[in-house]
Amino acid sequence: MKSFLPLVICTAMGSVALAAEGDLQKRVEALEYQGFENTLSWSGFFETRFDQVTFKPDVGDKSTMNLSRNLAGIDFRSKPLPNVSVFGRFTYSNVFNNLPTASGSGVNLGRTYASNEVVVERLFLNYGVIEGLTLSVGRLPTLDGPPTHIYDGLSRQGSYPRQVYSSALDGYALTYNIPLNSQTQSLSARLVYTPLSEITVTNSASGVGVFEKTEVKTPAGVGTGVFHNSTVPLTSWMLDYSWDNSGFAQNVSAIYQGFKFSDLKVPGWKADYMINSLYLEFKDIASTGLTVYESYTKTKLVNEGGVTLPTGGSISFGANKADATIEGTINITGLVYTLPVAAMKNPLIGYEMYSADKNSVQFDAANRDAIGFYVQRGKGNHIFYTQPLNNIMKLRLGMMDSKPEYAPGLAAGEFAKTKDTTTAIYANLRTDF
Amino acid sequence: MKRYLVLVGLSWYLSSAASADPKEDFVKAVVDQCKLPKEKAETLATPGRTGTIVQFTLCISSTVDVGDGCKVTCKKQGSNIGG
Repeated sequence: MKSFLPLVICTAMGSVALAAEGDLQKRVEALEYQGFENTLSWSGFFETRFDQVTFKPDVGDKSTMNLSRNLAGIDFRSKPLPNVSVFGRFTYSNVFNNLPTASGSGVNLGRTYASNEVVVERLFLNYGVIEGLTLSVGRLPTLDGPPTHIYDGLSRQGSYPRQVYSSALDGYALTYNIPLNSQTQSLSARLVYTPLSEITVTNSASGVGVFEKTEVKTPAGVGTGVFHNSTVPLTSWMLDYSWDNSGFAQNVSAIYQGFKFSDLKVPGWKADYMINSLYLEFKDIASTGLTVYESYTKTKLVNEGGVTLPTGGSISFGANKADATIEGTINITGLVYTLPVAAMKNPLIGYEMYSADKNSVQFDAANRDAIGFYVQRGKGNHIFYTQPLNNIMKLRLGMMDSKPEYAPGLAAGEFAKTKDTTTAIYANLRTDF
Repeated sequence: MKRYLVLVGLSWYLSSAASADPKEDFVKAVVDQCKLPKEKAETLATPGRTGTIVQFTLCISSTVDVGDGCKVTCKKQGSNIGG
C-alpha cells in the first residue's frame, strides 16, 4: 500500500502535466493561426508642423504667415508568399482647420464628406521572379527619396533621389541585385517604366468625350469611339549601391539615376526632358558622428517647335525662341553631426546648402516645406536641430532661407528674374509608430 | 519526371528565397556587419517593442545600436523599389 500511494500521486501529476502541455499546444496553435489570418502588418508615422514664413518682396513691404499642418501615413505590408510582398501607404495631410477662401475652396471642419482625402501614396507588389531579380508593379515608392530621411535620422524613405521628379509614380520596375560576393555591400540595377497617361476618347455615336485626361466619365469602360492615345513614355534607370560598416563610414550609399520622358506634347510644339542625378551619402564617418551627403542633378529640356507670338518671334519652355535646348544643375550639399551626448538621446545638428541655376527644371508634387525650398531657382540655406524625445518621437527645429533668382515652375519663355526672398522658421514633431 | 523536377526546383527556389523570421534576419545582419559569432549575435537580440529585433525590423532609423560596440544598418523594404 505504501509503495502504491506514490505511484498514484506520480500518475496524477503526470496527467495534470500532460493536460497542461496539451492546453499550451492548443494555445500556441491558436496564436499561430491568428498570425496566419492577420496577413497585414501595420505601422505608420505622424508629423505635425508649424512654420512661420516671412516673405520679403523686391518691392513693397514684407509679410508674415503662420502655417500649421499635419502629415500622417499608415503603412502596411504583407508577405503572402516567400517571394511575394505587398506594400502600401495611405497618407493624410491638411492645414489646421482650413477655412474656405473667397474662391470657395473646401471647408475642412467637421464631416463634409468632400475633403480631408486619404491619398494612396504607394501600393505596390514585389515579385521575386528568380533569385536576385524582382518585378515591382503598382504605385511605387518614388516620393521622399534621399536626402529627405536625413533630417530626422530616419532610414531611406523613397527610392528616387528627391530632385528626380518627386511624384508618386505608377508603373513597372525590374530590380536586379548584382552579386558582389560581399555580406556588407549590395549593388542593384533597376529599370523603371512609369508612363504618363494623357488619353482622350470621344464616343463615336454621341460625339461626347467619355474619357478625358485625368477623369474617367464612364465607369463601364470607354466603349467605342475615337481614341487619341497620347501616353508619354517615362523611363528611368538606376544603380543603387550600399556598403554597411565600411570601416570608413557606418554606411556608404551611392545612387545614380537617369530619367527621361519624350514627346510631352503641347499645342504647337513638344518637348523631351532628361535628368541625370548622383546622390552620395557617407554616414557616421570614422565613428565621429559626422554624416556628409551630396546630391547633384543635371536637367535638360529639348523643345521641338514653339509658339509664335502675335508681336513676332517665338517662345518655348524656358526660352525666348523656338527649338531651344535648356540645361541646368541642382545641387544639395549637407552635413549632419550627431552630438555624442547619450543623456540627451544623441540629438542631430545639420546644415544644408541648396543651389539651382536659371535653366534647371524639376517637378515636385510632395513638397513638405512651406516655401518651395527644394524647387526654387536660386540659393538657399537650411539649418536644423533634431531632438529625439524617446525611441519614436523627434522634434526638429529649423530655419530655411530661400533666395530665388528666377521664378520656379515650367513656363513658356525665359524664366523671369526675381529678387524676392523667403524665410521659414519651423518646428516639426514626428512620431513613428 | 519533368514535372517532378520542376516541382523540386520550385520548392528549392521558394525555400531558398524564404525570408527567415525577424530574429534570424537580425542575427544574420549582426554576424555579417559586425563580424560577431552567431552565439554572441543571439545574445544581442532583445525582445519587446523597443528591443533590437523590432527596431531592426521596423527600421525607423537606418542604424540600430545593438550594444557591444555593434551598429547594424537596416533597410525599410516598403520604401525601396524591389525591396
